[in-house]
Amino acid sequence: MTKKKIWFLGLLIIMLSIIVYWFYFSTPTSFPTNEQLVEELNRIFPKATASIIQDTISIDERHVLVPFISKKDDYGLSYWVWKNRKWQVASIDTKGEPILWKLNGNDPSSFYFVWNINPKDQLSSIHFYLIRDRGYRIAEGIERYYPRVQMEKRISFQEKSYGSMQLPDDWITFMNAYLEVESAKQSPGRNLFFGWIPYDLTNQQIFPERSVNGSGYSEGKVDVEYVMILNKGEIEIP
Amino acid sequence: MEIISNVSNTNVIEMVMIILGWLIIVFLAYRMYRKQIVKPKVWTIPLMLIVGLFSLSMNLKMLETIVKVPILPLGVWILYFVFKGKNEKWQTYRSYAWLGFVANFIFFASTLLTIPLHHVIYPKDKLSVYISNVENASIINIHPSAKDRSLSKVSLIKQLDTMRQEAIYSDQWYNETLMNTESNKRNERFPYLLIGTSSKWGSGLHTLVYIEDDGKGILLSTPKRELYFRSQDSIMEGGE
Repeated sequence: MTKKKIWFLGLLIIMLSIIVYWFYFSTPTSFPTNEQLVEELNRIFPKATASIIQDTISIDERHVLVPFISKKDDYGLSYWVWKNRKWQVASIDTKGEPILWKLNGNDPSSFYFVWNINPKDQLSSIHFYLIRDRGYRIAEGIERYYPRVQMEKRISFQEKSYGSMQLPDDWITFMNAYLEVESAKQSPGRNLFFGWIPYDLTNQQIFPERSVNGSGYSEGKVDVEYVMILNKGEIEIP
Repeated sequence: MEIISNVSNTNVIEMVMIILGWLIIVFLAYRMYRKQIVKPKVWTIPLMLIVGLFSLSMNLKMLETIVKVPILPLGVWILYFVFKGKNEKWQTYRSYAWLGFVANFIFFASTLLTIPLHHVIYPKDKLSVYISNVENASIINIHPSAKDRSLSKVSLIKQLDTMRQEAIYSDQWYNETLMNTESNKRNERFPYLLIGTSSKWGSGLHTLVYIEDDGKGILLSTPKRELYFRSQDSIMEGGE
């Protein structure tokens, strides 16, 4: 009787672990069709009024970016994550101004800029920035000077006005070093921020009216960081 | 590789002192146990110690490090109430609960020892403590005023021990940079970052290493302070 019980228990544990494994670690199945995507977007967030799927951009095995056009002719973004054996919408933006999507918490190499600019805004390029302001501090006899950090990456638009981009290598290198020192502080802070400047065909900074101030849906666990529009005047060009 | 790099980033002295502290506690508990006539069950002793360890403590800032000074033996009080009415049992356990509280002081003392010891073994004004392994070193540009230059490892290694520490004129540097040019033409005084170096083994020090535009200055930014060093010759090559 007891032997039987042990056998049964062992079998149960093995079965359970297989189910758990299958549930959490299984490799993703094929991505839903465009019709299914539209349907799911409008079911979860009716305000999206998605009508055309522009593309499906796989960022890694478990993260897919889907730019879409709405019935109001807005260019939006949807963020899809493979979770619990399903492709789920993690977040929807009705307008596609650039945002930083952090796939894996604090690891800068998993940070991606994503965007879907309305073509009517007629941008020809975007300049992305990683900035830490110059500053100094004198307290309790200890002097500190903070050099300005300003790193830039330019993206020019050819035929597509949507896309995704991993942070450049030197940004990742800098951020890793910076975050390591910052996290060893007794009161960690973060003064780094991300910004962007949109340029038109004549290389003038413009305001992309149709691509900003959208509304959004988010299931809460998705990690995104706002990317601020900067003024050309704030950028140092020695 | 991962493990090695992790170990090289831990504060080995602190680790050793904590282990030493626990060894003392275990030794004291063993002596108590031997002297007792009515002995408790062995597995309960660690439990008593850990509950006894629980205390209200005050944070004191000493030499840029926060140390915990224990004040109220909360854990001992909890155990006292648990054993209320079972006087005989409490007699056998009481000393272990108090030892748990005393352990706070042992750790407090070990922190007090760790700080000066760390300063002696890893002198905080020596550049070679912060930059010890240069093998994989290189530089990245962190500001557009940086030129296309590269690190001269030979020059850096040669001057690591001879670079002189100098004062940081933070407000002066800041104001000079701001006033000399119109807002968007500014040059950064430290437009390069040295990467791929590590601090001395076992020091557990984390540092950002900025390099001055003339290649002759190094600004170290640690979690606790900044240090500034100047060299005779440039530690970079190319550009200009």
